[in-house]
Amino acid sequence: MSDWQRWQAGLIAAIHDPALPDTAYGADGLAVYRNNYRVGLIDTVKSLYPVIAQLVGDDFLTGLAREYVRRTPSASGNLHRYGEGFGNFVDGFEPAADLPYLGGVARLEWALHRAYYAVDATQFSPATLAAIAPESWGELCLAFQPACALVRSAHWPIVAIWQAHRPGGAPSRVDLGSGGENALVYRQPDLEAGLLPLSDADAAFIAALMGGATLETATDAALTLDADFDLQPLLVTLLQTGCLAA
Amino acid sequence: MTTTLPAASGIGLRAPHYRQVLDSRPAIGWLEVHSENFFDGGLPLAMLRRVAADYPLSLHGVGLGLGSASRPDPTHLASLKRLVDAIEPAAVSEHLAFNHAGQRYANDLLPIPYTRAALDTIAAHVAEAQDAIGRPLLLENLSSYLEYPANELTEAEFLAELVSRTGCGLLLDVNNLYVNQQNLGTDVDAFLAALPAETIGEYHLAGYSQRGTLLIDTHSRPVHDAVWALYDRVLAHFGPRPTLIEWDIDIPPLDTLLGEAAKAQRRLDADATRGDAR
Repeated sequence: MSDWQRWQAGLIAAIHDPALPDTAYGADGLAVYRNNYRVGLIDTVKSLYPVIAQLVGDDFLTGLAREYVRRTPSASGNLHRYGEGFGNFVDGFEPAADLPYLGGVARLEWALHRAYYAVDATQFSPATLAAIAPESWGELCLAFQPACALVRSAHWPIVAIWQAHRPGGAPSRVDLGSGGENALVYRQPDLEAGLLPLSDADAAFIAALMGGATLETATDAALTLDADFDLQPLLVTLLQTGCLAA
Repeated sequence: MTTTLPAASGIGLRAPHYRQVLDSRPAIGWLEVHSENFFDGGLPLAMLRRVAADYPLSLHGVGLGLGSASRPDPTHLASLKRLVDAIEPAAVSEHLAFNHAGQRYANDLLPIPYTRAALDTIAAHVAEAQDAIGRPLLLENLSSYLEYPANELTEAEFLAELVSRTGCGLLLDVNNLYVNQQNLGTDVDAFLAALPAETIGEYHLAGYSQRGTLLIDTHSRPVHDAVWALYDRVLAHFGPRPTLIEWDIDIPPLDTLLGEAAKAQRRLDADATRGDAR
């Protein structure tokens, strides 16, 4: 590495870590970049998680975001990519241990954020399915739109919590003992991000498809959870909502 | 040709004004957006397609970091190419700045070492980006708060070298030049003299703020009188170019932005009149 390359790497390191000495770069100038970096990322994280803000208040979210940013260096020049691991961070962050559902709600909000910006793709046409003999459907592998993401929580009603704490509305009570919930996040026809609540069997089916399984294997995965799993209405929903990609 | 923007004033279009601009279609020469806000699809891109149908549009990147020793991120370049192909903008610009070392990023515009060795690497990055999107870039001069201690060229000389090596154009940010004059003692006359006039495709104007002894390029205020005065000098030196009002923090009502753009337009019109007399 040459001198100028070392100087660049050193400046990035000094911006990321305020504990490093500032003598090599000049204290006043470095302070500007350190402040820009920290405040910019904290504001970015806070803007991504409006439902978390409703749940814990602005001050607590600011504290969470500050700690997340301290531990998580930016890894992209596109600021809209920052903040993905916030939900996992919250899961392991001791001061948030009293709110064990927060991480799942944060993962739901991240998926909605990405659904908003995700690349457009051509929708799967139901005519494609009609052109295939029904006895061969079991061998089909279905692809999802890039905007689609599956978010699952084994223990917490993340969809109900999210719905009850959307910004702008009055928060309502949620029974935390009502069990885990799953959601398929997708892009609605109006291009806003939306979500479909899913049963555990539905979620297992979609997880298998997203993992590259055939329709038959995915159906088997759902049936092991729920012997009454009915493929048809779910498939119709996926087609009608445009979740499947060509 | 690095830009087909009109030599008129324009404004930076930011999220608080998307709806109002689409509904009211204000009379303004052109609009500029930050490229990364429209990576990669969905509602933002659909909105931008509507804007592009009614206004000349400039895509201004803040995250590619072509001045980094490490190569530009191929994912970022691919997203920019997708956007350029979708919108077919009148101009595409980036900053002569760095923002990463390997996979570690600072989402900022950091000053680069103006050395011969850096020039070879950075010219290759500019060429790589231009090849990727299939058209020339406008590169913008930077406001900065510290400097590499062993610079061999000035920023303006470095920009001129990049122009001759890569065929890129230039975006002259007048506020940045003023901020650097105040913070770093940049010689404005030498700066203007070093830039190849015919390759300047756009000017930027914005308001700075002050922190201690430093002026900070916050894009948070009206354009200061001293920057308007420098803009007049730039117009006298290079002639009229598409001129943008940028405002990114504490964003005011749209009419305030349009008022600033009208001020720039009056200066462009006056300069054009002088140009006719010349």
